[in-house]
Amino acid sequence: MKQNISSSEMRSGPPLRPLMAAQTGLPSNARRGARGLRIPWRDQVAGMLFAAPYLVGAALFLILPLCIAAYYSFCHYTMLQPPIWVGLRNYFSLLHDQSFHKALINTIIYAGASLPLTLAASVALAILLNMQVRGQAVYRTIIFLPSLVPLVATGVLWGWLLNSDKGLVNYLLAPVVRLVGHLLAATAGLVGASPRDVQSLRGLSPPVWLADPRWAMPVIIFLSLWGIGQTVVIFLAGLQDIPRELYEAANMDGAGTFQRLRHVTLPMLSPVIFFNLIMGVIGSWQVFDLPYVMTQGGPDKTTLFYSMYVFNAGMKQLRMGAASAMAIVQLCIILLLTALAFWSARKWVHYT
Amino acid sequence: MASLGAARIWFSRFIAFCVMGGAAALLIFGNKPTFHKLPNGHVVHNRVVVSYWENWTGFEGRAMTHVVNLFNTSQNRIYINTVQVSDLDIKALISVAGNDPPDIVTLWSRDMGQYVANDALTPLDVLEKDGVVNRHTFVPYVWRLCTPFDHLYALGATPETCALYWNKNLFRKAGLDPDKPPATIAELDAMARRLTIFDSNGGIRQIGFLPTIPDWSGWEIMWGIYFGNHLFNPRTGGYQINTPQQRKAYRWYQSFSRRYGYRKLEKFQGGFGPFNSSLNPFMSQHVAMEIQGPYFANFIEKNNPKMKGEYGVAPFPTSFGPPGAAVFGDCDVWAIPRGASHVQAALTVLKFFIQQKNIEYLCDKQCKPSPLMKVSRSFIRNNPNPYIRLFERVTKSRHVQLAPMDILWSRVYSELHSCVQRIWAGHSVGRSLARAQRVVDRWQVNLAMLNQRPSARKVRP
Repeated sequence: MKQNISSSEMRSGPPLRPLMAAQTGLPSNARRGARGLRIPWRDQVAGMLFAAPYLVGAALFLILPLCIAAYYSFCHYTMLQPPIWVGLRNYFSLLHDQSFHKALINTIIYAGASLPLTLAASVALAILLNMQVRGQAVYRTIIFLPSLVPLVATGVLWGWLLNSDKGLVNYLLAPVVRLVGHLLAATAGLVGASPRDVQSLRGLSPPVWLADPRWAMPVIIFLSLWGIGQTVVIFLAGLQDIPRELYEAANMDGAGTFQRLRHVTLPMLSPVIFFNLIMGVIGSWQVFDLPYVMTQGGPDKTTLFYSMYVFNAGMKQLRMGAASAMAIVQLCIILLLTALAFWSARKWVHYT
Repeated sequence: MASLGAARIWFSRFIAFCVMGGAAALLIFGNKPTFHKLPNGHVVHNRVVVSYWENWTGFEGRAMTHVVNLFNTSQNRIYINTVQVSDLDIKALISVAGNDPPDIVTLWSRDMGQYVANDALTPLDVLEKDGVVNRHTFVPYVWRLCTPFDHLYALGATPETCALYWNKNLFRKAGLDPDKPPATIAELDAMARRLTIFDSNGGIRQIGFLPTIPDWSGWEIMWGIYFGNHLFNPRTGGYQINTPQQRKAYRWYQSFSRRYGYRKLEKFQGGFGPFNSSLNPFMSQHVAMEIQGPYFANFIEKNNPKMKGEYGVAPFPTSFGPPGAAVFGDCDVWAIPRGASHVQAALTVLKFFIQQKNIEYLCDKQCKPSPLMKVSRSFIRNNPNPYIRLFERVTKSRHVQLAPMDILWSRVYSELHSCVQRIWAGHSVGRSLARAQRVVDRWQVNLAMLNQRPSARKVRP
């Protein structure tokens, strides 16, 4: 009968090996595994065969394209002509490419704003959904539902909702904004503002969300909250894993709600926060669907994001060499940020 | 006994081997199946199947389908399998790159430069050599479009030259002569002011003219031609973005957003739909004048038939000459991508497409003028477009300007689109154009360094 062998047993050295062999029933001609465990070659072959679909898939569709992209990033390549080796020219040209700078800055702004926003909102919602209230399952479903809608459909839907003239959002906002405008105009009239200013305050109207360079980016950032359902579910699972005893002990120590959150919930949830942070960093640097459907990078490139620019350069302008260089830079940035997160995790992530 | 049993076993194995070997030989060396099963379920017997990718949909697509059906029933050697494809320009290029292109593809004129410069099309010089087409077959601008770098790469399908549409009813209401369109840009501005109506809150209810309408993404970058600019100089191979004519054009362009307010205009335009829908501002009577192509008559007929007879069409005014001294034109063309499997069959199909009766049928149903120099009387007489004579005249004009046929055009287009958006939002015209010029010049220098300039490239004969 085969039994599980703990790593401490395996580490304990040669005297235990005969015992292990007896316990596991492995034949004497079995190969030695990484930690001294003998694995019969048939099992090894079986293991490799089971792993093969993933290994072959990863090699063909992940490693190979990555290597090819790395090679093309050093070439002038249009997909229709053989690649011409240009060395680091594609990388140097990024230094002078204003659209690239714009896309990079936009993505940094987006990642910097949407990531804390979605994490904070997800944790807050998860804590609320973790409370024992009537209709809990319904609330959970409502929060999760939007993440089931495809992003393209979400983009079209929000495009109409935010339409400046016929959109529901502005339809609801218009009376409020008009009232505020009139109140401000009255106040301005009292303090002696010019008639022109008073008139402009009277004519105050809701923003032109997607066509106004000042509003387009905040709208896209705000819409990143739309699909937080899955993150909330992960946080919810994390919250339910926190031992009740810790809260009871905190209560006995006289901790209030905020202190329990600060000293029990968040530290215990930190591995889950860390996981979502990593996924969020990767996701926010790859944002594409929503801005592509809603604004196509406009107005005046205010919502042109990194992945969109890579797509435009590669697929629309046939600059596959430059697009590959940008993709490699993107990969490096994401790796760097992930490494940074792992480095910082030692200070704030608590595994128990 | 044992040896007999073994012999039987070996004999049965031998028979099985022979049967399987024979079946395999039949499969490999036997006659190829004489039918093709198409993705749409049709089965075609004993014919070469030519795959044809096109971008027309709706009634425009149906008109082309009719021509295709005419071909399919006219003979029994070739069958055209039509596939309607969105984003055709990109997908066709990728199919060429993947070495699995269709046999025939419909392209827009703006794609020609990129396709030809990247050697993505099969030259059709053989058609010229065989006397099927020559420079007198097509109207001048279509021929120019089809023959970049002195080789025939495409055949004109349906031309689209732009003109000014005006709403006679709104002219009448504003106290203007409904039969007199503006003859100059200054007149256009003056009439536009009179035709603009505000609501009680100061919002725009109706506007005379707006250079951001229609909503063709990026079209605004061509306004310079009505002020005498040529965006691309084919002799020098340079882009002329920051010229006095361009600055004049975009100061005029910006004057609208300055006059009415950027946000107010964006709000006004926010409720409009695509140019081919009933939410188009001209059809919904929110805009009195609009620049549009000949096909617009079809959409007016479909979406707002009450407007029939209530709108006029005239050549668009220019700042430097009479109306029509500059015309922006586009044209759908048929081409054979590089690497197509059935080039000879595709050539036969193209010969059929450009026969006068077939191309006139297509253009008639799409309300467009013919790309051919020779036009039948019945085409003019029976055309559903009431202004077909005007469009025929404009299309044959030597003042028609096309989007630059250059390898960089797609990238320049994107940069200029952004530049024009900046200008519309109120940024300095001079600085915005100068910046765009600098950026594009740098790209051209880089490209020249790579020796990838189309003019320097050896185009496959």
